[in-house]
Amino acid sequence: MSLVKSENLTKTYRMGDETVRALDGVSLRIDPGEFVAILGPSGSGKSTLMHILGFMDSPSAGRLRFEGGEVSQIGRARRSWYRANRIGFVFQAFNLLPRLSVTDNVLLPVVYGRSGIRDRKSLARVALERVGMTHRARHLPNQLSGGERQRAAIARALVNSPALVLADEPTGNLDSQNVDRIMALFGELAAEGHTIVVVTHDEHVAGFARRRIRMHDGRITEDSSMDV
Amino acid sequence: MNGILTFFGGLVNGLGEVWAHKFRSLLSMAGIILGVAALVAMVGVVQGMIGEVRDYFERTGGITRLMVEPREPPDEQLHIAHLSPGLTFRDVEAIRQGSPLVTWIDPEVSLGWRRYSHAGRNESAPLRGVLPDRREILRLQLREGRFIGDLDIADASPVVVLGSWLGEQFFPDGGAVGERISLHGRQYRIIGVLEPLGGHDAGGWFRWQDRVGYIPVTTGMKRFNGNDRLNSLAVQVADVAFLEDAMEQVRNVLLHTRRGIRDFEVTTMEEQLMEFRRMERSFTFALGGVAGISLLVGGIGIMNVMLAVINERIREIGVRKAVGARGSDIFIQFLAEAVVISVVGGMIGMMASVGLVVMLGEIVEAEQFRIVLSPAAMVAGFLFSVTIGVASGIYPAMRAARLNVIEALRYE
Ligand SMILES: Nc1ncnc2c1ncn2[C@@H]1O[C@H](COP(=O)(O)OP(=O)(O)OP(=O)(O)O)[C@@H](O)[C@H]1O
Ligand SMILES: [Mg+2]
Repeated sequence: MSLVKSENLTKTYRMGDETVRALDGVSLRIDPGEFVAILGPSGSGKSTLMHILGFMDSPSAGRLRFEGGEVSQIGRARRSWYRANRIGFVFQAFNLLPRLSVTDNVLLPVVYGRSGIRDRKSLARVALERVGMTHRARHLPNQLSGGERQRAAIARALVNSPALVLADEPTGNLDSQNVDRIMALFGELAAEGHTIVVVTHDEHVAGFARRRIRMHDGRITEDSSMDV
Repeated sequence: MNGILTFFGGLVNGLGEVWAHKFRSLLSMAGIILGVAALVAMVGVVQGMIGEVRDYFERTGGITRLMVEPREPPDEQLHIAHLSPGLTFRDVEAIRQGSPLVTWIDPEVSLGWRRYSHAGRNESAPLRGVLPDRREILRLQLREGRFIGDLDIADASPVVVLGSWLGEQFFPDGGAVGERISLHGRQYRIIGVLEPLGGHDAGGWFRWQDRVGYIPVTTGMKRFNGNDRLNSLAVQVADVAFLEDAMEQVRNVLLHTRRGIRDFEVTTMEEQLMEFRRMERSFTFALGGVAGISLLVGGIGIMNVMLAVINERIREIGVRKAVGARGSDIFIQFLAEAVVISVVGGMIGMMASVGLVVMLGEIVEAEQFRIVLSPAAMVAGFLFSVTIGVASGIYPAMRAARLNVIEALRYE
């Protein structure tokens, strides 16, 4: 069974008299365990698609199924639950809360996920171990390097063992050494069975993924998988 | 259950935010702090003033006092008005015989300010001729000696009881009883010295009373005035229940001594009591208004700061929502921050109020009245400030809760 299945996803914005089509009939299917890169020029609709896949935005038209359920049927509070428990989101700008320690940042989805888990500390430790950040657990975000911040953010995305990890230009603010390190980490996570979608406009970054989707003007223009 | 947990988490978080922005938090609390302090101080001032008036009211006979006051006789009696002798000592004797409901009779011959001389020292103080009853009504305590007695009245003896102030001036080490003091060119034997009336931190009226010297009312009539006229006459009734009947009795007796001429009026303290109540009420309203306005301003301050805080933290709100926070989680978080600000502000306000009351106490001299630090006002001010703080946190918290995730994340 597919993890994500969309049919004719469309997203339009009204700007005065004009209608902007950010997404223009996107149909795609992502299976569990896939590692997907979405490529495309600026304004092609990559972020819009990610927001919809991540339960943060709704399409204007089209259908989206997640884990077999129709997403449009899900109410607001339940969407928050999905964001906390089933989906991990990694941002270009890291988006760690400056006043919280790395551990507390990592635990935010656990706090909001209401899973009733008591041993939060060990959850955070497992996630930080996975990204090699246990030695920075008590630090504040501004005491970390860029690469470390992104690894902390990835730990936050992983903490509730989500079904899908979405990363919108996760390497956009990193130097080339850290780009490779972060992408290698995503590769390992995919190999362990995580489903990962990474948005980028860098071919080198996309090279880490097994499947590439190219977008242009809100449409998918190419969808290719390569065997390794 | 979860909401409560989130709320406590929010409180901890709010304390952190308040601490992280100490100065700004203090500014946002300023209105609440001043409001609470002003409320407590105003209550203290008003309670002090009202307490003073109430004390005075009760110490001068309270509601069971009846006063005989002069009045223009009615028109049809104007041509015979001169036949009435007016207020005289004969009234006292008549009331004693004809009004069994009266427990104490309190006539006074006021002799104005007089020069008291002893051993080459002179002091000016009021002098009054009274009955032994005066001691009961004012609950006068003697430091030494005794008060005026029935024999002194019968004999119109040249004896005097000194108020505590006079005693202090002439005989700071005591030993006044038996000494002689010169008044109006005659020697008077001191038979007693009074204790101060109202204890140590009492205000104006009591201090004033402490200056007075007392002689028998008959002595005042004979040796000073040469007639039996009184300056004032009042009586005490045993119980309010008899007030109406006692009034009737006194009225009848006096009509008799006045040969039927109605040139007097028997009044109760009711009017004074009403006046007192009115004053109390208007003070309460004025006080409530001032405190209410300052706390309202405090609330607006908190709302203003909360709105600014939320504007600064739009991105944080976006991140929290992106990782699973619901609108209600955000609402509770920011409401908890408003609660922290108003609770901390209210507590600082309570502390500030103690300081303010002490300071005002230094400024307002004890001569006038005493400022009371009212714990009830402190608690009320605190609760009120917290309520206002929470109420003014609701709207900003709702705005935060309604923010769109993507727009919030994109906010610079
Ligand atoms: N809130 C909005 N209102 C109006 N137009 C919008 C809004 N959000 C996105 N768009 C438009 O939709 C289109 C797709 O935007 P999107 O952010 O998905 O692009 P993108 O592929 O992520 O670009 P980039 O690589 O620069 O991040 C753009 O033309 C953008 O201007
Ligand atoms: Mg984008």
